[in-house]
Amino acid sequence: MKAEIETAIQEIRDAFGCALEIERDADGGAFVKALNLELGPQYEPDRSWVAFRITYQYPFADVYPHMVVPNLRRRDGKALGEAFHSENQAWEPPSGRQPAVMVSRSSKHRDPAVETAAIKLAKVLDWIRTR
Amino acid sequence: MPRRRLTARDILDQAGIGRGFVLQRDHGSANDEMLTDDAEVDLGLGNVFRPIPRCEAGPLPPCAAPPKLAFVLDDDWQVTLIPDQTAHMLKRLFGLPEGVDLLRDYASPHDQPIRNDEHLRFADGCVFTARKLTITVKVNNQAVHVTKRRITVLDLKRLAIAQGVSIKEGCVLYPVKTDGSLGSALGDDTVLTLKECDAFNCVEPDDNS
Repeated sequence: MKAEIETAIQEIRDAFGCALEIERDADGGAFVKALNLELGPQYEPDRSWVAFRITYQYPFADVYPHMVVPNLRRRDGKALGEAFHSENQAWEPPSGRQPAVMVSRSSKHRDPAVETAAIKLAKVLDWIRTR
Repeated sequence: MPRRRLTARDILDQAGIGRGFVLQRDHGSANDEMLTDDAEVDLGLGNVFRPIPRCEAGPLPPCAAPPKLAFVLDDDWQVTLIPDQTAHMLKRLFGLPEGVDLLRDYASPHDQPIRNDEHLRFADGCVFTARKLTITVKVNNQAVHVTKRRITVLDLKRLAIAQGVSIKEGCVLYPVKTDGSLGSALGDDTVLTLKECDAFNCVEPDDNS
C-alpha cells in the first residue's frame, strides 16, 4: 500500500475514532470501510458503515463515491433524494460483493494538499446529516 | 449586575426569569444552595446560578462545597472553583497567548494592564478584557493572525484569504480538534471563540454527481 494511503487511513482513524476494515487493492490503493458512523435521527437505521476506495492516484484523485447500508430510508417516508443511488449498487472489495446505497458527492475543485480522505468523509457525513 | 449584593429575586428579574422559579446557587458538588426570593446574595462569593421551578424547590441537605466562580473575559466566561488567581493563570484559563495585556474591566475608562504575577481575587471583580491581542490559528496548515477572540466563520475565512490562504468565501470550514479528530462543518454565521493554535481545514463544497 502506498505510504500516502497508509497516512490517509491513519488520519481517518484519528478523525473519527471508529473501527476500520481495510483491504488492499492490487495497485497500491485500499478499500476502506468505516464502521458504525452516525447518519442522523432522520434515517432508519441512524448509523451505518461508510465504505469507499482510496485509489493509488491519491492524493491527486478524489475519494468518491461513498457507500452506506443497503436498507437506508428516511423516517419521514420521503425519498433519500439527490446524490443517493439505491438501485443495483454494491460495495465490492476483494473479499466480496455487498449491496449498498451509493452517496455520490464529487469534489470538482479539490486541493490535494488539503482535502484528505478524512476531510472528504467528514464532508459526506455532514451532507448526509443535513438532508 | 449593578452591585455586588442583591436579592435572589433581583438576579432572577435581571435574567428575565418569572415568578414561577427560584434561584439556586451552583456549587462544586451535587448539593447546591437554594435561595429564597428575599435572600441577600453576595456575588463576590459565587456568581453561577440556575433557575429551579418553584414547585420543585424542596429543602436540600447542607452544602459544604464552595460555590462556582465565573470569570468573564470579553463576553466569554470560564467557570472555576479557585477564587485567587494570577493574571498568568487567567490567561491560561482562557487560552490567551502570554503576550496579551489583561485588564480588569472597571466601570471607568482607566483600566490598567495587570502583571502576569499579580494576584487577582474573584471578590474584587470578575470581569476582564484583553488588549494587544493577537491569536495565531491555522487554516489549511497556514498561520492566520487574528486580533479578536470571537469571530464569525465568514470573517475568519475573509481574514485567511486576506493573509494569503488559498480558499474562497464559499469554502466549508472544519475545526481540527487537538486529538486530530474533525468537528462538524461550521456555518458562516457561527461565532468562534479562538484559542492560540486552533486549527481548521477549509475546503470547497462538493457537488452531486
